[in-house]
Amino acid sequence: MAMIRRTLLALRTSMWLGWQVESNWTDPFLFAVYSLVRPLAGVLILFFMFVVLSGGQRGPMLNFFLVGSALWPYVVNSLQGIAFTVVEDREEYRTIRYLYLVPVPYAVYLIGRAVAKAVIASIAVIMTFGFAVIVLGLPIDPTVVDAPYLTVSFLLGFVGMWAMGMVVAALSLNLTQHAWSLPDAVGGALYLLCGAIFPITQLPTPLRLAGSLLPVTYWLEAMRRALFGLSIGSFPSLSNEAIFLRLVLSTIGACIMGFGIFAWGERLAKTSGNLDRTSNY
Amino acid sequence: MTHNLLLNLRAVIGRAYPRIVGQNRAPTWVFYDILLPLLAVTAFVFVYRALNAPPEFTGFVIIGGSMLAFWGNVLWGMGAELFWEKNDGTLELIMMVPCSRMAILVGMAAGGMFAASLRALVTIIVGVVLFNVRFDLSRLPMLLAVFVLTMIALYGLGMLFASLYLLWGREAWHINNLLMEPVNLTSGMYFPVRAFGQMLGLIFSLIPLTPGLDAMRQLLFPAQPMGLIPVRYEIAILAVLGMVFAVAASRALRYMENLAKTEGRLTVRWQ
Repeated sequence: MAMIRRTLLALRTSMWLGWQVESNWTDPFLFAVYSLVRPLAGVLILFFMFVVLSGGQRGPMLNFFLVGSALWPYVVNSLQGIAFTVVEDREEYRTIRYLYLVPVPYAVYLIGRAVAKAVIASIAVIMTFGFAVIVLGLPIDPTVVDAPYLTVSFLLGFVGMWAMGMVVAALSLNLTQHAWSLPDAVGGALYLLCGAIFPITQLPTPLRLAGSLLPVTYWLEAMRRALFGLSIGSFPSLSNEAIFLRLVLSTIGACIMGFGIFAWGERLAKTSGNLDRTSNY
Repeated sequence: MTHNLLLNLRAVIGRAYPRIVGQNRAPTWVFYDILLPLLAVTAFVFVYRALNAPPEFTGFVIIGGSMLAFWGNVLWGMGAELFWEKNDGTLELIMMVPCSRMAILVGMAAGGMFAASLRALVTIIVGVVLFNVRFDLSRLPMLLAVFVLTMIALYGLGMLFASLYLLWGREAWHINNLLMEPVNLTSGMYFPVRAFGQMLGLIFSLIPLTPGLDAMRQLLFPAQPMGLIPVRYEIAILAVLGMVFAVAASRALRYMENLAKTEGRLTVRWQ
């Protein structure tokens, strides 16, 4: 019981720390603008890519683009965010050795930081969706939205993203020279593989199979189905239940792999002396 | 005069040297900095495939993706560089050397351009080999002129950023992040900038990437006439931008250096 209480306290503290680190570099207005501009630009890039070909017409494919792009900050902040936390702690703030001195597992601290990043991403996601609905005409009909499916899938997706983030964190702990590049690079790979901005049916078979193993792929598919019902998607032949089942299974797999690899990576970083090795790279 | 010129030339070479040699000492950067970022660019190719776009649009993405390497280098390798130097405690050393600060920045640009050029080249090769992109090279001299002018203007902008970042602390990191996607949008990195309409397109042409990319696409894909304005006007815009940014960077660097010194922020780390 005391351990659970201590873990929750550690989570809360690292969430607060994460919020401070992410937001206290500027005033709230600029922070809100900063949080919004990037995802909004991402959505608009896809919007213009679509309209330059369609001549201003709307269509289900545009909805596909907009939803994937609007939700992408969650993936960036949750998955890449965990890895960037490791690199910042080690390379920029140089606090990682002190974090290992406190009686809280580093993994718990990382999850707390990731939760803070997810909260920050929510600001961007909500505002981007608002912009997409009001300005770009994203047709979200509340009578069509499957709220229970949306809620459960939405929350489950974070578990999968954080678990995958732990894998990238484990690699970052052991990389000295390219640790800054790795999280962005992994994000780029996911952008291609998980059906964020196009259905993975477009991909060559080996890449499509790789994408089919990722919980983020099923999370994005479930979000689109919950918002629009069965429309253009990455898995046209699967039912909503099948997508949810695959989301659950891939999340469980990601958790086993993520936390297992993180434990291994942490041990390796300690024994190799990479844990607090700053590269100035 | 000759002594100063030689000194500054040596400073340019000296600053470019570690960037070029450093790449060879850690060849794993090819995987992390070239191959993995390519995947995100590739995603935009599949977007156009999902839309059954004409093949030239794949070429638009490939050219945009290759120029993205230079923009990333301008932001992170030029703009933020003095901020990194400050955090690493080496900015003081740079300030002590008896050469022009601009020579240091030009050296940074030259060294950074080397790595960015390799990444751009790989992007183009991938486009040709994997996605069967075909370029029309009948106006190669003009294309090279556009490319060189774009680089001069772009790296001039990078030098201007470098001076601004001297004053900033953590903001530098966030401002750089902030500038990535919006510039990808406003420069038409993945679509013809004409989609914005002529007025907005011209306003966005203050960013050198916008006229540079548009002109290159017009020259490389004449079968898909989606240019914003004629190439000769875009060349003129790029020439003017190059001169303006170079002069502005030189003045801003002096001003910001003095300001940072008087405010005592020149070497303050982790603020």
